[in-house]
Amino acid sequence: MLFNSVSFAIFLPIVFILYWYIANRNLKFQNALLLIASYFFYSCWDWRFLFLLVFSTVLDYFTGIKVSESNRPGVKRFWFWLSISVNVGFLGVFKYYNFFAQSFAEAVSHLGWHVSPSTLSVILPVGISFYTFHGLSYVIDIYNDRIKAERNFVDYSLFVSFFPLLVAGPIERATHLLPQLKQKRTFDYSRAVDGLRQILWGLFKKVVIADNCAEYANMIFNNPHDFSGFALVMGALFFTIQIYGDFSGYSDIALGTSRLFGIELLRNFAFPYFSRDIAEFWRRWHISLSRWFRDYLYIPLGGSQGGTWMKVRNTFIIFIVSGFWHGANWTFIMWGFLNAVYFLPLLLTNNNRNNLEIVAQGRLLPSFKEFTQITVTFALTVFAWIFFRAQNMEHAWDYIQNMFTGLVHKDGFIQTRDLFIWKIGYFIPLLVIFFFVVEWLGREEQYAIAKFGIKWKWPVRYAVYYAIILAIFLFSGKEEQFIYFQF
Amino acid sequence: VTTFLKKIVFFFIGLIVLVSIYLTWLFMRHDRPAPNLSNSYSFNEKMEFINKNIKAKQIDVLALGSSMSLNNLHSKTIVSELKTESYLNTASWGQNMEEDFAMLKLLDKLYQPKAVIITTNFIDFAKSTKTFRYDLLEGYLYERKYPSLYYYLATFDLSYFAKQSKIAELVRQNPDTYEYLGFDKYGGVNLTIAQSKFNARRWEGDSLNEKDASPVQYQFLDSISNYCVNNNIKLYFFQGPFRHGYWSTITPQEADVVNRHIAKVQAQLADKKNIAFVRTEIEWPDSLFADFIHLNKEGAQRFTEYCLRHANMMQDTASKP
Repeated sequence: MLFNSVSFAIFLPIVFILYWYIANRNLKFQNALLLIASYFFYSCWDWRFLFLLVFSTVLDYFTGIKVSESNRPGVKRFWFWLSISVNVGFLGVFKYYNFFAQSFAEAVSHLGWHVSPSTLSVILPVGISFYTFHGLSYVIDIYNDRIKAERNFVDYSLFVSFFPLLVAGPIERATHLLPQLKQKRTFDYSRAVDGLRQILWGLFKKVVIADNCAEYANMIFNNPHDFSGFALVMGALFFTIQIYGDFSGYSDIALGTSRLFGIELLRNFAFPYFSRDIAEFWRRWHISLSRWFRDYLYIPLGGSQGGTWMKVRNTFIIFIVSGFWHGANWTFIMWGFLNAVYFLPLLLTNNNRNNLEIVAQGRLLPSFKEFTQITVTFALTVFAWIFFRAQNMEHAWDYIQNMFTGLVHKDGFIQTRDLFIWKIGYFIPLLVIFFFVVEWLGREEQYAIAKFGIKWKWPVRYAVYYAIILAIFLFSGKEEQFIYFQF
Repeated sequence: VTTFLKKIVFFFIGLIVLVSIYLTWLFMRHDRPAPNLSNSYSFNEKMEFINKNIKAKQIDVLALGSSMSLNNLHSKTIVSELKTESYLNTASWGQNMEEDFAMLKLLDKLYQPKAVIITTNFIDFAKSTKTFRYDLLEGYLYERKYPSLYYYLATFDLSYFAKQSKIAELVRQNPDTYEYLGFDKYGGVNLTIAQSKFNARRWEGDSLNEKDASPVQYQFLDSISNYCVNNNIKLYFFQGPFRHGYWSTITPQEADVVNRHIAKVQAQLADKKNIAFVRTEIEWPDSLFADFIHLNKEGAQRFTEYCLRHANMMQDTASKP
């Protein structure tokens, strides 16, 4: 059940009405209803994987209690490692087994040995990387005495499986979400309206911006030899916009949906393409994942406390693991590695925490210096996304090679111009520019249109909402699955 | 909560009114397109034609396939050669073997045909990017349990209406284009474009590459022929010609690709009961074409006559003791 599907448009109002009219008197009913709705939502993808989700939930629930109850360090450690091993084991089998088996076979083939790896033909269960990380953070927090184990099974299950975040995050923390699930929730009109507004903007980002850009990015990435260097740059640019519209759009819909039920989720995006350096980009892109890796990997490894060597090592580890988390492919590892390379100079010169606030705060336009910084950071990001989008390393190298060959050639410009005239047109690029203008104007808010026209009279405000809805209907691209579902 | 829901309801009523006004204006200005049953506009138009015009519960002869069947078959010739008025051309642009097989199964269930005609060329063995709403087709074409409005709502897509409304007007009213879809009473369309309106790119034609044909499509051809044999349906399978001016300019490699393709198709259909495979000369005079591969009306008539007479001769020969 996609967020941008008719079935979700039917599912959501039904759950909303049941939640606020039938189950509103009792918190337990509300949570139970949300849990049933979440399991139904998940089973719409593939009901067989529901067992895996329930098993993972039961495992972490019980091991969490065991870790919390144990006074003996050895026993505590046993339950802790049991949970970690099973969770990581699931990820390993479903997501990484084939990658390791094939990479091993390829590696030994260079030594002249031929191994036929037995690969598993399994489908990657939707959302496994996300709910596994929920469970992992929960057990790690208990082990480190940051939180107490949750005794209410329904509440804990809902923390893992709450449908807005179940398949593509944000990756929640028990410390943030569980207390909300234990509090009585009353309907807040302005919060619900805000939630709807965020859903609307998320849908616009996904359906209009991302899906249209996807069409052009796919066309160019799938046939890199048919296009000039400059057109390939445009292809990378289209993918850069696609992935932002797709994933931040998804996150907006998730946050907005959750807000309709009186629950606040962690913010996942904060206008990353307006970042002035890569460090700032990573504080604004997929925030819940970056923080997860910071808290559960980077800091335990020593963070930036040790010497230079340790800083460098930890930086590479966190970025490469983060890349690998996205998928079992060398392209993701390369993408992570490249970002580590971008990040390193900032870390080594202690400039990685320079830009903590949003750019040009209180001003309409950035300074020339800020504009240059944003442009350079954006260009670096676009380049790194090529690896992320490529099917394999060969494809990525091929793409980059073709991109730089004849980049400034006259024929290349002519071909790109023709591409825009005959295939892409100018309307969608203009819409993308309009989108970035709105994002820029709303960059100091939680999402671009959070306060947009809030003081306008209702007919004008409604006209804007109608315009966005009509744009979603009229200019929707070819329906694409959310990119992050595959992770 | 109630206030919130009330406002939402009013908001959506406003939206429905707004969309209705827009659609009314659009359809008054241009034309109302067919229900969005696939991402092939020609297919949608054809399905609407069948929904509106074909009330028969059984049809003797069905034509299936791509524009090769849609444009290169001449309906009146088929009716006279096969001596039946019970004929329906269901073909639409770009249908490949896979889609032909899916449609064959569906149409057989609906109309129990005695014979099926498929005209193809190399281009019909390409991989498809089309999506058909087979789940809705049976109800739409045959049962007609629900009014057409149901199918418009079930496949509602505002951008489709916005894009296709003007196109609907053009394809239904302008016979001087390649895209003309003003079907004759059997569902066929023959191209009658004036020479001065020929599209140079289409006339010159595309290059032919072996990679353009997908091996899976040959498997679907097998499925089609086996299905016909098993269900006692006579299959007429015709291989269309190329324009002489085009064929004389292609490279030997390209010619080889086509010749090997034809040989492969012929070998697949050979020795199968109740199947007539007819191939014409590979090149026909330019005067019979509207582009490199699509025949004009006269070309279609000659092609259909040639193929059916050869098929009947083959049948006569086969039935002689």
